[in-house]
Amino acid sequence: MRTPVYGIILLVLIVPLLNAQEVQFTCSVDRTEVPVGEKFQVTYTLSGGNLRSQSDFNAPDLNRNFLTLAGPSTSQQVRIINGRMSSSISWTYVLQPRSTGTFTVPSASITYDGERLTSNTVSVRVTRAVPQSQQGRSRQQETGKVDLGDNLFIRAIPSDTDVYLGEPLTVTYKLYSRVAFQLENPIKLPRMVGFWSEDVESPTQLRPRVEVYNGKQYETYMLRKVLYFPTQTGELTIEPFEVGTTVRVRKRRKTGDDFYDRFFSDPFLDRYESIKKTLLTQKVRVNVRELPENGRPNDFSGVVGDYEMEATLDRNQLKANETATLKVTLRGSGNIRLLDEPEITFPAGVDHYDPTISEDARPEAGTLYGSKSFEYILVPRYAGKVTVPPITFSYFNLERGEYETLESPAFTMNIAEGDARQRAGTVEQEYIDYLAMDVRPVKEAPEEMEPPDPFGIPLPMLILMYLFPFVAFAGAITWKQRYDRIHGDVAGLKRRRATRVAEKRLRNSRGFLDAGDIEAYYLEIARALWGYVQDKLSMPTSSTTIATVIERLEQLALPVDLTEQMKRALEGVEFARFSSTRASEDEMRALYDMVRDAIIGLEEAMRGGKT
Amino acid sequence: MKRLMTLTVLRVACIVAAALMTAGGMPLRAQENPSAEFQRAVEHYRAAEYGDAISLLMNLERRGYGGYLLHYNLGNAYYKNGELGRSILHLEKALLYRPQDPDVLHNLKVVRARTRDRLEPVPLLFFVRWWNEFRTAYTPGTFFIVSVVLLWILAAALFVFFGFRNIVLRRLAMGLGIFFGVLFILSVVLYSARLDELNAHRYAVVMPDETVVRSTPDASGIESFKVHEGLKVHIMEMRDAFYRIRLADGKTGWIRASALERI
Repeated sequence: MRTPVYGIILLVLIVPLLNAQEVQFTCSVDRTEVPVGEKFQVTYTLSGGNLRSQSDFNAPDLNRNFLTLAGPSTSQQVRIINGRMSSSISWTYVLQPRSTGTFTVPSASITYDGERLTSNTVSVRVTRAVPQSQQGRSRQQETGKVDLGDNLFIRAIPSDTDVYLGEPLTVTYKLYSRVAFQLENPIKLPRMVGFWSEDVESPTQLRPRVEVYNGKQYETYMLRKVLYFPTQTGELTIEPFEVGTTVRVRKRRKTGDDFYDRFFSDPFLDRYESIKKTLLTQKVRVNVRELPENGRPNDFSGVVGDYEMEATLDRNQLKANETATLKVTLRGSGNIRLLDEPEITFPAGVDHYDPTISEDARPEAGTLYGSKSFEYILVPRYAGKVTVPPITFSYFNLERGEYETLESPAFTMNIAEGDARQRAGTVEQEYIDYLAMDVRPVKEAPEEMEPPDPFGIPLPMLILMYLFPFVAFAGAITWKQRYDRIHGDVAGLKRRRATRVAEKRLRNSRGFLDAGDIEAYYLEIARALWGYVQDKLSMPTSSTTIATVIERLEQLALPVDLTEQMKRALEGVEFARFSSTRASEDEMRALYDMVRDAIIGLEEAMRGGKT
Repeated sequence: MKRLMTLTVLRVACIVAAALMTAGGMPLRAQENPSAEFQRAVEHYRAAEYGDAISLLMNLERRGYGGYLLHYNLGNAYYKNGELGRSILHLEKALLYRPQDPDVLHNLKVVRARTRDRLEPVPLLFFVRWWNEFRTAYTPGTFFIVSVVLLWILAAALFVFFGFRNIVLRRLAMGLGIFFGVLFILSVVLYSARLDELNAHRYAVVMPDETVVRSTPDASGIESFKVHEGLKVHIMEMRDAFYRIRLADGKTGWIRASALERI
């Protein structure tokens, strides 16, 4: 259970480190503890990013606490690792503290890509001078006071001093010694103008070799071997190489008495002391010649060396929108690291992307040797036959002293119709599809140019548009109320009163029946039923017949038995009214019940239907 | 319900008034027939003189003209002139006028395919996505028209409810009234929100080739990531020289204000 937690912690720690690859402006010192009177170096470094975007290095005020002995000296470094270019530029000062204590090396600032970057500060502790004497008695001496003569020196030995532009030369830095010494770290390469440099050897363990130079025997140590590729023509100088040493020398006592000195010139009594000595090489002057004019190919881009080219296409039968890889490899000797991608004319209808570059170079036999390959991803868009024309690469062959041009064969691809399915897919695929398209055409001028739309609706218009419906609503309601008042709701009124009227008439007819007034009874019961039906169903008197009433009831979808009951009641009333035969007392009472039940049934059915 | 409605209407009214004032401040002087000048720019474009087309059209914009056509053509001309950032800026502006115009949408994709940033949009809950898509698919004007139509339906429903005694009719009117009333409020909210959004110019396009986005609003902050020309970003917060932005894939950080042009 614990591992995930550690994993997360690790991730949290690593993520900032990954981001740290970006542009940084830092301040560093070669040591944080300096004895008073000794030198130390302060370096401000801008690393990562594009060095062309930097400008305006603003030097800090170093002289408040320190004495500036030298600087600023600038140096640039460009490195390509796995096809990724990283570069840095630094400004170096050599400082000497003025007094003991803890001091802060102030921050410098620089403009990068329009932004002001400020470096960190570093604090330096200045201690009291430490005597480095073997016996603790002798004092350290200033560098210049002891003359070591030709007992200890370094030389820069160039392999050649007259080269073509781009032709490498090797410089070997060698130390010659006849005394015991110690090297101080670190060895710094001099700054270079007009050269691209590449370390060939920088041994960590120095191995002595015996060599005779100018008639004396020395122990020699190879300190560094560096390849320089000149990048400009003319008389160039490789600046002196500097190395700090500590030498142990025997100190003569200066008594003024020659005899005494000679007498006591005894190893046991002599004092040894360590002195610091900075060794410098001589400057190396190199004459860099322009490459010959005659026979220079048109596409020559300044590559010098000896190369072979290999170009391969991984497949030549494919469908539209599938990918093929074109790989161009340059192999040979010369400044591999500065090789640019070859110029390739890609045919129309084939999308291609920036190449993936891989490089492998090592110093060998006075030059860089290795290969650089460029991988292009090609995406043909349409079916058909497309041809990548031959790729050419020109360089100046140093060995033969003439230009040479390499040419690959042409590559032909047969593109079949692509799958429709292949086109749909990721965001990336959509981007790729649109890479092959152009924008739609420009549009004609309008009749009248408009001011930019404020996108809002003008206030009066907005209020009007929102008020209109309410005004319309108010108007409509007023009209409706007036209409209702004038016309009245006769039908509604009758409907609501129908039950009461029917009840009253039924009661009356009952009275007539009990009193034996047969004519009046039949009339009243017919009025009760017909009036009720007409009012309740809102039917005008003129168009009411048994058929229309039944039809109306059927429309209302009342229960069938109710409709049947109503029909029988209506028929009964009509029959009794117009028949010549006299009905019995029982028959008359039965008719009354039938009419009453029909009215109650309809009343209940209508009420039930409403709710 | 009615009170809420009045409040929203008032709010909308304020926004519109503000918009009118700013629009009114822009002088519209008739120098040359602007329409003829526009047509000249179109001729320049057809003759592949994109620089001339751009300067004519930009001149028109400076004189206070705008609209879909102007920005559409500017977007095309900048693209042809190789200025992808400006091209996207103007195509996005054209899109404000006609959010679903197929020509603008097509051209935007064409130009975007040539920019360097490729962002996978952050997955959102489906209804958030729907809401965002619905909201940005129409101009405020469309939402306003919809709200007016809904208000008429609402008024009709109120008339039926108050004017008739028939219980069935009245119930139907009440149901429809509530339904359309809710839709009406929604449309008014959409209208004012969209208007707010447009007038606040919360979106911007990155102009320089490459710009560093930092974790804090100052030049020495830790670099979070880099953005490239033509990327559309959402401005979350503004602090004098620095804006806090959010990308489509959800990343946020502070960027120099001068690196952005607001849409």
